[in-house]
Amino acid sequence: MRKEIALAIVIGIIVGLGITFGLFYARERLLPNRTAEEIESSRQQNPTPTPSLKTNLVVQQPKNNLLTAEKTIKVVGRALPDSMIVVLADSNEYITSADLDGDFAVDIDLALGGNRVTVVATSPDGNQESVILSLVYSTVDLDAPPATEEGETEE
Amino acid sequence: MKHQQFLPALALAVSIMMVGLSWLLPLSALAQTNSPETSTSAELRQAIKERIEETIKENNNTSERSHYGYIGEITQIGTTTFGLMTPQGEEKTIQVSSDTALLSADKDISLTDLIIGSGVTVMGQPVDELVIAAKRVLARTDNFTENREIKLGSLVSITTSEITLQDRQTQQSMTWSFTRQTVFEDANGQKIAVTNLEEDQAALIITDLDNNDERYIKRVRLLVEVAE
Repeated sequence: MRKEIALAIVIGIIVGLGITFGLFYARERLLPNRTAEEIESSRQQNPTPTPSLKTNLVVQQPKNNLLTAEKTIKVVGRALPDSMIVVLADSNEYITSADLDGDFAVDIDLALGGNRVTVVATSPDGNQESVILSLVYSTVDLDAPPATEEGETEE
Repeated sequence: MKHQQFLPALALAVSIMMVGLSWLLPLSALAQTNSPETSTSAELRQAIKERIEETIKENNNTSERSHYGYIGEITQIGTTTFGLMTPQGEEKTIQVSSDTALLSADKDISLTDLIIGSGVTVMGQPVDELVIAAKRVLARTDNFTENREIKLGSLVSITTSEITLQDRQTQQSMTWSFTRQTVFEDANGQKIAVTNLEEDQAALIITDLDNNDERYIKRVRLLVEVAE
């Protein structure tokens, strides 16, 4: 009699533990997929500026179509760590590299008038991406009457 | 009799199983529900931090104005407007009014003096995403074309007039000539002589087109320290 009771308890515990382990294992296996789905869902709900696929190049400053009265401006951005950054502005090239966090900053001189500024990032494995900015450097006060304006010459 | 005692024992065992389940499942459920919340709040904090930094930068940029600057190539000319193709490939319509100053080499010009295919700089305010009300238009002869190219790789050979580089991505070797104006720099940007270049050195090479549309080396930046 006691044998049967003990056997029933042992069988119950074994079955119970087996089911519990099975459920726990299945949940652990499913967890990474669900997290990935949640991350993807979060990305779709909160889209960030689209980075380039190869070097993750993003130029944070200056904004495209900036009209500035400053000849020297700072180009700030982010790319893959240790990427080489070349900024082509006017007839000059400014070379720097992204730090271990991928951040970079470089001062460049603008030509008077319109400037096509190209920021090129080359990752350590040679992949390359670029961002083109249209920037205008002018000292003319556009809100002033035309008669007081000074002329400026472009190439 | 046997069944009457067997069943309670089985019920006890199942109860133990249920206790085990109720102990394990809430823990894993807790781990599941807390993780995304923690992640979301961290993302929010990061986004707010980035936004604050961005706003500070924008506020610090005192040179930014209410007007914007545009460059591009003239695509068509109308009676009070002209079309502009920007370097980003966007087609804009530029509105020209009596308040608009049109200049070429410091001289006043009219809308009909503009040339399709030539470059132009426009300062003004956007009416909408596609239309710009121009306050000042500067015509120029070129159209903002960028011919320079950048290659990263290893130096294969250096002669008195040419350099061959093996591209790090494509593994292809390319040879260009260099001129007296070509700038050679070490890893810190200090000028060096072409004789400091050695085979197998990692280098960044910037090339450009000359008047004959031949590509030549404009600048060489070594990525390694140069031996004294």
